[in-house]
Amino acid sequence: MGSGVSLWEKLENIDVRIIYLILWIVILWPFIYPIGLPVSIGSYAISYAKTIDELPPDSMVVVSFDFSLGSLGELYPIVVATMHHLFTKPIKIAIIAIWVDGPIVANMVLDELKPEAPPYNKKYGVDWIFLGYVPGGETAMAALGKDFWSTLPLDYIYKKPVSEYPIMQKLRSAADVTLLVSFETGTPGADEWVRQWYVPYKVPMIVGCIGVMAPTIVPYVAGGQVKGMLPGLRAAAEYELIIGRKGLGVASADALSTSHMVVIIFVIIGNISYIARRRVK
Amino acid sequence: MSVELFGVFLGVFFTLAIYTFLYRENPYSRIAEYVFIGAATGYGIAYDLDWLRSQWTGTWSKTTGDSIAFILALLLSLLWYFRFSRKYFFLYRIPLSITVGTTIGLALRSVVFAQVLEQVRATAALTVVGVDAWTAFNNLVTIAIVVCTLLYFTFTVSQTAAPWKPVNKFARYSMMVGFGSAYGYTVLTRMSVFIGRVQFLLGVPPNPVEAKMMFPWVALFMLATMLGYDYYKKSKK
Repeated sequence: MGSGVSLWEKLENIDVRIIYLILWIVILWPFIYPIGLPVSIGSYAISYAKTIDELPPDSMVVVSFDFSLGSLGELYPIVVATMHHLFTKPIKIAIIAIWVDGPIVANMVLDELKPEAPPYNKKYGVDWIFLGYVPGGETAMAALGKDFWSTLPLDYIYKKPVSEYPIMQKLRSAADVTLLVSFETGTPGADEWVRQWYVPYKVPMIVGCIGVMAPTIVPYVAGGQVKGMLPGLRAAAEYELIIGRKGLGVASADALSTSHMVVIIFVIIGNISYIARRRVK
Repeated sequence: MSVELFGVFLGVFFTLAIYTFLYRENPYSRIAEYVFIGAATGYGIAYDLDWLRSQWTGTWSKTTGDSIAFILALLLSLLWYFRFSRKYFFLYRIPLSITVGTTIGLALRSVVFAQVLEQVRATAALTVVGVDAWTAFNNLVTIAIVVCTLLYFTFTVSQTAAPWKPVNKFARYSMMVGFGSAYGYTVLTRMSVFIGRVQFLLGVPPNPVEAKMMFPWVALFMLATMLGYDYYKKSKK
């Protein structure tokens, strides 16, 4: 018994650098030799995809990039899959950013998808527009909700007055918006959008967010203010499977599973060790 | 080396430099940390100024009222920089109070509807009849958790009587499950960030494939210098 407890003690006090090294290996390994572990699809991803699928033709969708580049690994697969899904629909899309890094990510995804080329064939200014960054956080959200034209007088790409674009004739305030799509990592984010766009204008929204934000958004899903959410990389994989476009999310699924297995194993070891040491005492 | 390649090299270097912190604090991780903070701050300021220039050039001077409002806003925003002055620090409080006041004012008008009433309505609408068994069970658990947790935080009555004990225990376990779930999502986020960087280092499309070539060399160089330095320090002792 004594030697057993000593082993558990050793395991409990294992050098964290060894755990980091193990994590490096189990995350790198599936990218070199994919395992193909199964991915089950949850209700959040289904309702997220369904909300986009059920958009009536010519709906006005505002997509807001509300996150920093630090979350690119987790959010980029969600962003690419969602933008692909949106561009395949006969709807109008206005892209904005409440976070200063937003336009960088928006440009990345637009460069990758090329909405004006096949299979999307969307015309800039008619089917979609990039309005760029609006500083001010919640104040900017409120101002945009009240009047898009005066808050963002010029578009982001050509710096032309927004009033000259056909798409903007149908977008004067949040009252004209059918759906808000927000990709986000924190504040300002869902809380602020719900306060400034859902309460006064009843604009429903869907959210792609980092996993750590999920517990703060779930109450809005339960309340019906948020119609669907994709929390983190795992949800990105589920969503990619639903829309039939495998990307970085599915590619990461194995690494996500193996890394979590390591965490679970160490949590179990830590607990057994704790219980074993308590019994000895 | 082209500009693109140099960009990829910087990406590989800074990614690995940040992760060397896991070994121990070292000059690589320090450089990466300071460069990141400096670049992010500089980018934010430059981007805000660019927005001001690109969106408002030719617009702010259309009417006298617009011009006055624009100049006043600019002057007020300059007061933020008195944060760095001990003597005139009080001036920094003016834009701060305006920002905080405006944001709170905007939030207060709708916070009760957005973050209280809708959730109360959704919880009150939960039913255990006329739904499938699994949904009924879920709803029952949700109702029990909400009621018990709210009772747990009822401090205006003494909670010493016997019936409070199981209620408080259930509430405490419920909250622990909630916190555990939140922690699980935190782990998911940390892993995802790391996976994103691994994808970059391995050149998984759409990441640049050149990163895959640079990754082992930069990693080896950093490892060799850090281990070499440690060995040198040990041998000196």
